Amino acid sequence: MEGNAKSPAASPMPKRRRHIRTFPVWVVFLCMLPGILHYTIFRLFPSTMTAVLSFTDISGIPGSSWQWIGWANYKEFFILQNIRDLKAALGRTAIYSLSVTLIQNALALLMAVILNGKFLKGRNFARAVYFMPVILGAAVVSTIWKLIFSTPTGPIYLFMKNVLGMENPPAILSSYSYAFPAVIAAQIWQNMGYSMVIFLAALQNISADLYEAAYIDGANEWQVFWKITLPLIWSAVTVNTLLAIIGSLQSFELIMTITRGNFNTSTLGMMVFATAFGGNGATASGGTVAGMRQGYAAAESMVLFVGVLVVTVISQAIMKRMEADQ
Amino acid sequence: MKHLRKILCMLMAVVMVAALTACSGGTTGGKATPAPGADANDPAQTNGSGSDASGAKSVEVLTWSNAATVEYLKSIADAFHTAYPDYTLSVNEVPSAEIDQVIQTRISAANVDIVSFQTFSKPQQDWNKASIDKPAWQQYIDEGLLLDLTDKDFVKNYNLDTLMGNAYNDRLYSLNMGTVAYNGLFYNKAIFTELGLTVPKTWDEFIAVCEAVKADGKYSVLSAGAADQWPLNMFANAILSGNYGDDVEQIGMKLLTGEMKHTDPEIMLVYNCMEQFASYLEPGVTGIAYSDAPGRFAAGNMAMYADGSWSAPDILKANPDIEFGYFPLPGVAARADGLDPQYAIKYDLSFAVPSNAPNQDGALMFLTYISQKDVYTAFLNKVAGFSSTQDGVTLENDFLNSLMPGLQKPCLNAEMYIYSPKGVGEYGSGQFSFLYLKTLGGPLTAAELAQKADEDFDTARKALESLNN
Repeated sequence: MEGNAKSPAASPMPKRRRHIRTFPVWVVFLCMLPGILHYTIFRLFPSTMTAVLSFTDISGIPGSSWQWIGWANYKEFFILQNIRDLKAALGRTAIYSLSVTLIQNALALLMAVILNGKFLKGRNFARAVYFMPVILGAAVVSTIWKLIFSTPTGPIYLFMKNVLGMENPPAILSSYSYAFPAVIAAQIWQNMGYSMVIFLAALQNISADLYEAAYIDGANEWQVFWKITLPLIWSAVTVNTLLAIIGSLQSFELIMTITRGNFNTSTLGMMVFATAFGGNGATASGGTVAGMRQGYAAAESMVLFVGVLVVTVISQAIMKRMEADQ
Repeated sequence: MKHLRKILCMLMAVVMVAALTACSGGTTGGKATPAPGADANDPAQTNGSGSDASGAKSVEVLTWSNAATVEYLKSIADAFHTAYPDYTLSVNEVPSAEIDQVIQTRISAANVDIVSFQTFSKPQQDWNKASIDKPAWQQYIDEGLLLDLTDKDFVKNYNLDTLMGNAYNDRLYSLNMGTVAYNGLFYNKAIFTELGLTVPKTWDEFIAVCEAVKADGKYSVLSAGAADQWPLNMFANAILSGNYGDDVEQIGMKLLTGEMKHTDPEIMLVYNCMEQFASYLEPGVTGIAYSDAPGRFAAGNMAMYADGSWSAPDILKANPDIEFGYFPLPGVAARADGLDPQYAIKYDLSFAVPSNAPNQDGALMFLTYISQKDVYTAFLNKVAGFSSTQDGVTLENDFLNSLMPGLQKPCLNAEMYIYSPKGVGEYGSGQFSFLYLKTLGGPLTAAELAQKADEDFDTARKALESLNN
C-alpha cells in the first residue's frame, strides 16, 4: 500500500542518482584504496613472492643466504619423492576435497532446509549450535575429536567395545584405515555450519508466494525442493562448493593437530606446512623433515595452486552449466 | 572489448585463486588461522623480551612440556631475580611435538632468549650430504644463529668431555643440563614380587617375564605412548643399542649407503625383536598418547612401561605410592664383557642462546646462575631423570642412583645414526616404520616390512642419483 502511495514523480531516487553522477572519480578510488592496499600487501604480494621463491633455496632463517636454483625444487618434488607415495598423497588430497565438499554441503543444505522451517521451535538456538564449531579454532576442534576417539577411554572406543561387543576395537586416530576418514569427519563437522548459514540466507530470499503457488498446483515436497528451492539457491550452492573445494584442498590445521600427518593422513596442504616448518607429514610418505626449506615449500605451494586452479575452473564451468540447465 | 573483458575476468580469477592458495592458512569457509607456533597468550610474541614495571628485563626461555623441568624453572624465577635484579625469568612451554616449529618461528621473530634442544643428531657431513637434508640445529649454527658458548665461564663448571659429545665442529653451541637413559623399561616392583619375577638380563628372559605376566592374566604386560610414534622409534633404537652397542654408527652408515640391507640378519634381528616386543604391548596401544602413558603405568595394573628415565617424576607425580624400578632392554646375546645390560644415553635438555636474542646478556646470566653447583644439583634432584654433566654432584634421588649399575659402560644413542635417504618411501622412513607391523595393527610381518624398506631405500637412492647427475 505504501508503495502505491508514492508516484514516480514524488520519488527522491532521481535526486540521489544525480548526486552519485557528480561524485568525483578520485573520491571513489580513494574509498577503494584501503581495500586495494590490503589486497596488494597481504594477498597479491605474498602470492607473487611465493611463485618467485619457489625457484630459490631460501630456508626461511632470517638473514640466511639463498640462491636461484631454477626448477630444482620442482624436480625434487616430482622425481625424488617416492612416486607410489606421491600418487597416494595426491589421491588423499583429492579424496579429502571431494568428501568434504560433497558431504559438508549436502549436510549443510539438509540442515538449512530443516532450520528454515517457520514453525520449528528453537530454530535460532539450533542454528547457533550448528554454527558454533565454525568459531572454534583448529586446536579446540582437534582436542574435541581426539577425546571422542581416544583409546581406551573415549566414547567411540567404549561404544565399539561395550555396545558393539568388539574384543579389540581399533585405535581410530592411529589406524591406517580409519584415521583419514576421522580427520575428514572433523573437518566437515567444523565447517558445516558456515555452509549452512549461506544456504539459510539464500533460502530466506525465496518468496513464499512461489511455494504457495506450487502447492496449489499440487506439487509435493520433493517436487517443490527440486523445481523451486534448488534452482533459486543455486548461486549459494556454487559459492559453497567453491569455498569448500578451495578450503579443503589447502587445509592442513586439523590434520596437523589430530594426526600430525601420520597414519597416511598427509595431504598436499599438510606437506607444504611441514616442509616449511618441520615435523611429520612433510613428504608424500609421511616422513619427518627438519623444515626450514621455504623455497621447496613454495614450490609445493605452487603445485597446490595449479591443482586448486584447475579444479576450481572445471568445477565453476560445471556449476555454471548446471545453473543454466535449471 | 568483449574479449578484453573476458581476459580481464580470467586474470582476476587466477589472481584471486593464487592469493587464496598461497596466503591462506587453510580455511573451509573463510576463518582466519593463527600463525604456526604462535601463542596468543604469550606476551613475548607481542612485546619481545620486554621489561617489567621495575625496569628488569625478562629472559624468555622456551622449552618443551616436561612437568618437572618446567616446574623447577618456574620455581627458581624469584631466586634468579634476587641474584640478578636486572632480570626476570619467563618460562615458555610448548608440547614436545611442536618444539621444533616453535623454535623456528621464535628465532625468526627474534623474541626468545634461550631455546631448548636435545641431542644434535644426524648432521649433514661430506659422506652423506647428497642423501640427507641438513637438520635444523645445523642450519641454525651454520647461519650463525646460535651463540658459541665454548669459552663462557659457566662451561667450566661442567665435565667438558661429556659436553663436547654434543659439540659441532669442536665448538659448543648448547649447554647440556643432563643425559638420560632412553632404552629402559619401568617395572612395577609389587607385580614383579607377586608373580615371582626378576629383572631380565637377556632377551629370552625378558620374553619369559612377558609370558609370565600374560599367563597370569591379572595385569597388562607392557605399554608405551605409541600414538606419538617416537616412543616406538625410541625402542627400535633401544633394540639396536642393546644388541650392537657402539657399532650402531657403522650400521647406520652402511644402511644409508646400501652396503647393508634391511633384510640382512643384523637388521632382521631388530625387526624380529620389535615384532615380538610389540606383541606384548597392550591392545590399542597405538592410540595411547605419550602424555597419558606414565599415568596409566602409575595406576598400578601394568607390569612394565617402555619410556626414558625422564618419565620417573611424572609417574611419581601421578601416584606417589607406586614402587617402580627401571632396567635396560636386554640384547639377544649376553654382553661379551660380562656386564649386565647397559643403558644407551642421550643428551636431553640443552639450552642454546640465539645470536639474535633481544636479551642476550640476561640469557647468559641465567646460564651462569643455573650452572652454579647448588642450583644445578637442586635441578637434577627435582627433575629426577637426568644424569649429571657436572663433576662432583651428589644426587639424593634414589631412582637416579639406582641407574648407576647400568651406566658403567653406556653406549651410543642409536637415533643419532639411523638415517633415511631423502625422498624415501613410507616403509623406509623414520626409524624402520614399525607401525606397519601386524603386531601393532598394521598390515605387514617383520620380513615383509624389511623387504619393502629395502625397496624404498633402493628407489630413493636411484632417484637421488638421477637428480644429482
